Amino acid sequence: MSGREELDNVNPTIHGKLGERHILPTEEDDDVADAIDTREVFDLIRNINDPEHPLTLEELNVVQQAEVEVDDPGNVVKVTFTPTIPHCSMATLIGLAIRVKLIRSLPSRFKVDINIKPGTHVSENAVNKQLADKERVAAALENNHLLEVVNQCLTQRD
Amino acid sequence: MSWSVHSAKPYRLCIIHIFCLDKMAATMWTEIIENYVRGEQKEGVTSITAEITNGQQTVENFVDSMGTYLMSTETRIRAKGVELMSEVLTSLPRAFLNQQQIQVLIEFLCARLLDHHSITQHTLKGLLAMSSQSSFPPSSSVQVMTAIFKEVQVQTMLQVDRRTVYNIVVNLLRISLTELQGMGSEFVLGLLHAMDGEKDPRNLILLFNILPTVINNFKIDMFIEETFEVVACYYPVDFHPPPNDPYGISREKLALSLKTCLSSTPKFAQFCLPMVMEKLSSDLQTARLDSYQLLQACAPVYSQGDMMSYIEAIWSYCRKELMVGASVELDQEAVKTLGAVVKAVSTGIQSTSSGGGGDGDLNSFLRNILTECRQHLCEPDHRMIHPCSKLLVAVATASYPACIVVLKYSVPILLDQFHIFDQTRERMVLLDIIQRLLHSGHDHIKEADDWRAIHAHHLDTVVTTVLSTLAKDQGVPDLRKAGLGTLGELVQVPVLMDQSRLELVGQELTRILLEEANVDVRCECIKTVSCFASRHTEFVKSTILTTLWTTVQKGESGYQRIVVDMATIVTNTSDDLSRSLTSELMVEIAKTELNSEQHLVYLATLNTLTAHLSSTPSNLESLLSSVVHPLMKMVVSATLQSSVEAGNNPHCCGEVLVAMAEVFRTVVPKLDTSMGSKLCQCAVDVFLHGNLTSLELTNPNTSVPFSPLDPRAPVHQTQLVTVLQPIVCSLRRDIHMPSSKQLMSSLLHIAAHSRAWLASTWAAKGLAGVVNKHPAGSALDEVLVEAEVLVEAESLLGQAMSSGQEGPVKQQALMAWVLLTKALVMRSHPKATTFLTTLLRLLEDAELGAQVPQTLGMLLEDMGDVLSEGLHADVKIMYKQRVFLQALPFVMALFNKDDLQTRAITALCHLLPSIPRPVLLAELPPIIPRLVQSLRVTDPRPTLPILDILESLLEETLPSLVDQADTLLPTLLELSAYQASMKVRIASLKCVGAITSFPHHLVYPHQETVVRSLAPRLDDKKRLVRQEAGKARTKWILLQQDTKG
Repeated sequence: MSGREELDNVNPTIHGKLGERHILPTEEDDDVADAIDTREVFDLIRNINDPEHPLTLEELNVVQQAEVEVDDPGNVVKVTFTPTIPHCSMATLIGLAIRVKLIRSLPSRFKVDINIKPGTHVSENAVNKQLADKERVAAALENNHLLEVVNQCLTQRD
Repeated sequence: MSWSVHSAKPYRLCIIHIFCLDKMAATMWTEIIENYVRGEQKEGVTSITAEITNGQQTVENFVDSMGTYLMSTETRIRAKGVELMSEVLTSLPRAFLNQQQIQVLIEFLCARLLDHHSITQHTLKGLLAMSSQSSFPPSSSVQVMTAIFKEVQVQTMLQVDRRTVYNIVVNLLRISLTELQGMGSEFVLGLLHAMDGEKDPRNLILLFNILPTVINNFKIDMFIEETFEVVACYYPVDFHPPPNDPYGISREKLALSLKTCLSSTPKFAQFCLPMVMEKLSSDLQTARLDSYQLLQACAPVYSQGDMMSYIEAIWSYCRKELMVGASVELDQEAVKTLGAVVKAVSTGIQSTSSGGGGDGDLNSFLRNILTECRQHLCEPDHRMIHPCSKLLVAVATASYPACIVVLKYSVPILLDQFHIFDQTRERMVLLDIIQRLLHSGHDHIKEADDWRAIHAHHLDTVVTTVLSTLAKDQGVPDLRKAGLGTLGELVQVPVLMDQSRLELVGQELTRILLEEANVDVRCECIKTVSCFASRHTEFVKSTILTTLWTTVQKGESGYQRIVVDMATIVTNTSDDLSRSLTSELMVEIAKTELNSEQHLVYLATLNTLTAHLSSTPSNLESLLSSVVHPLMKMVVSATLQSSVEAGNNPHCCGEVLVAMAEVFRTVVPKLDTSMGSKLCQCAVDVFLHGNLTSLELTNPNTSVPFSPLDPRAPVHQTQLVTVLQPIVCSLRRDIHMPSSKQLMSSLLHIAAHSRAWLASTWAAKGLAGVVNKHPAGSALDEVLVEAEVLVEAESLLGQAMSSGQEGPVKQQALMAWVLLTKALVMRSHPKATTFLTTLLRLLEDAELGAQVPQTLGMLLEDMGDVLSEGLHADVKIMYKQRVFLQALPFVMALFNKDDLQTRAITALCHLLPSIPRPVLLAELPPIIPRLVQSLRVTDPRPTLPILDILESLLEETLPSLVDQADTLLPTLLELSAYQASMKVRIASLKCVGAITSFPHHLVYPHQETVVRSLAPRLDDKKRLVRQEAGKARTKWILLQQDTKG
């Protein structure tokens, strides 16, 4: 984090965290199939670290369970995220981290859409376009420095 | 006398003069010495030393025979001569030389320091040897040090030789500190000069260890800055030990000893503090970490004034650290540092009201930080309130004056905010901070007036405010939890709790304990009540506890929970409360009209209470008379009834007996020898001899005698062995067991023959417990022979017996045999091997063989109810290893029999988890191929334990497992798709993930395959499998990144 001295948002509001998901008896039953639901997808992304604070995206309310849509049979996952401030320069990076996490952890049959919540960021369209462009995402991940930053966001803190 | 550098003659004269040469002896070693000096033979040293030490020759003779070489005009030969001499001196025993000899030798060696520089290193070794001699004359130390400082250019020498110099200093400081002090500044300057520029970490550790002694015992005022510079140039320590460093020197060790040096005198403050401030602004985390730790060490040593002048700077660094929150460790260190510094500057300040001197500085500092924090404290929804509160709590915890200022200022602000913000989340944050602040106050604030000032205009409302968060219809459980936490602190503040508020709080807490459904909230409530009770014991006892107990007695739903909570509260509070609850419980347990389920609940609670009470030895006597004896009397008198009546009596119910036994097991191991012997005598009298007088009972039913250990006794009597077992098995080992042979024999018969499962199991355990502790001798041997005859010949191996009907009996016999074997192998009894072999042979038995693998696990597991160290069992070290090593060949042999492979795997599954790690690692290589092979069987479900073991082993990257990586990976990947069991899938995915810790070059080639084959697992139908697959896959994906980065 090179920009330690000049954070975009110095004192962000922090929010509560969900508890661990309770394991239901049906989930331990070999014969029942568990569908992929919003909570499961949310669990994948909620612990992603914010690039500039020692907090998770969930604690900053960047991602919320209500903003995750999952259509398991239709193979679509939609995640809408909210940058903490409208001119957040990290929005693209956060979006990229969410996308990479989902690419790595979801079955390949899913189409993943990542968008900024409408009206919460100044360059909303540009960022959305960037995140939806497969080639630009792939190119970004070829960049070792960027990949390292993304991996840092994805590494679980203890 | 003055010595010229190259003239050898004077030395000889000196030596001849003092040692009174013996020409004969001088020639003795000529050959050995000649060889050594020519560099041909090194063994000479040992033979010379041997002859000197055993008195055949003297040191004087030796030195004399060296004469020619020490005098030689050739530098090389002189060097060799001194080297030989130093080596011989070094290898002499520490107390060999007398003062005079040492003095002469020192004289000589010091003079040698003037000689050619190649001789210096050998001379120093000789001096080191001298300084290690126990009769070293302290007066010579000045001479040695002066010579070294004057003649030796320490920093131009090799590491080993520099070390020799430092070791000499260490030795001399130890022997003759006073004499060296006489050297004054000469010594200090000499040492500083000698160590200036030292780079080797091994030497530095040594130096850092002696410097505090020098700094504190010598006048260094004139060279404070020089001394400081010599030490401080190493700060912060930048050292990375080479891999496989044999010296075991770590950065941490160096940093620690450097810290001790820098914090050894307050005189360093003026130089050290500016340096630390500079390092605190460093980007390097280790530099900041070291600086915080250094400050913590310096704060109590340095003067108050010095610390005071830097406190603002320290505050701002700590604040920045927490606000950025780069690492948890740094946060903690920063908080600790702030606390230590505030504590240091507050010493001697009693109150903050007077405005004079240093108090004023502290006050204005505190005012500044509070003004800075004010804004953040008013924003409980923002992040900065958290670091802020941590800092304030650290300051408040540090000292009384700081505590009172911080609390007076911040508690009212926080309470105001509580009224402004009505959102649950913010209120929780506020409550949590208030709780932590109040908690810090309890150590410091004793005056009621202070408390009044802190709660200021909230004095009347604070309790009700906090109580409002507990209301049933209000908020989420977490808010109630936070409210209870704060209430726990409030109830300890004397001025807040008048009679009406006591009642209010009491009612509210009782209501929560009775009605609250959330476990965490109840748990917090119990803590609060415990705090409450520690201050207002009588009140809590007469209100909360009484109400709860009435509810329990009614036996309404939920009473189980309440009685457990009560036990926790009373054990947290005081022994008196615990004792009164114990006696209440005993009254309830004595009631036969209650059902057995109630008995079980009460007995479990009783066990918690006795466990707490018995930890204080003075309570044991009363526990024996109020709990153990009454319980024993209860069960015995219940069995004296006819079997019909006994059947309905809960005191004859097996489960109740087991629960009572649990209570006994808690008390009995803690009894001392005399109490133990009495109890044991009583138990044997009652149960073995049927003598009821000690329990003050008589048998009303003369037709059925009371003799529970008689094999012919009715079942309800025999099962009393359940309560006998904990008494005879849990006593100290030195307590003599009366009629032990008869007891063991009776237990053996019940174990082998009784048809009641309960009785036979506990008899077998009882027997094992007694056998394990019984002194070796004929009595024990006879019982063992009896056991072999009874169990082995008749039941286990007697193939002649018809199988069908005798099945259960055989299993009982097997169980008894296993427990006996365990008792014997644990104490390493000579018979142990025989017993174990018999058991192992049964692995191939057609009828019992399938059960033997499980029993092998029993041999190694720690059992709670018998044969454990807590119950004073005789456990020899390494018994598990011995069992494992004896069992392994038998188990491995099974792998060669086609139909018994599953049994072999089951046996391994039971053996491996209990084996200590080092043994496991040593024995594993031959087993690993079998384990890997066992994973490829058609039904992998039984191998689940193996997968668990494998996972832990994989993380340790054993070479033998690493070799198997190529076979292991495909097998595991295949198992991760095993449809019939999700547990197998999860366990194998964990193993796949763990393999990433293998050496990179081995796993990296597999990366693509693994990542690809794990992709379908992300779509597993079970969520838990998907989670594990995601984790494992991420590990494999990140593998690639490591090498690139």
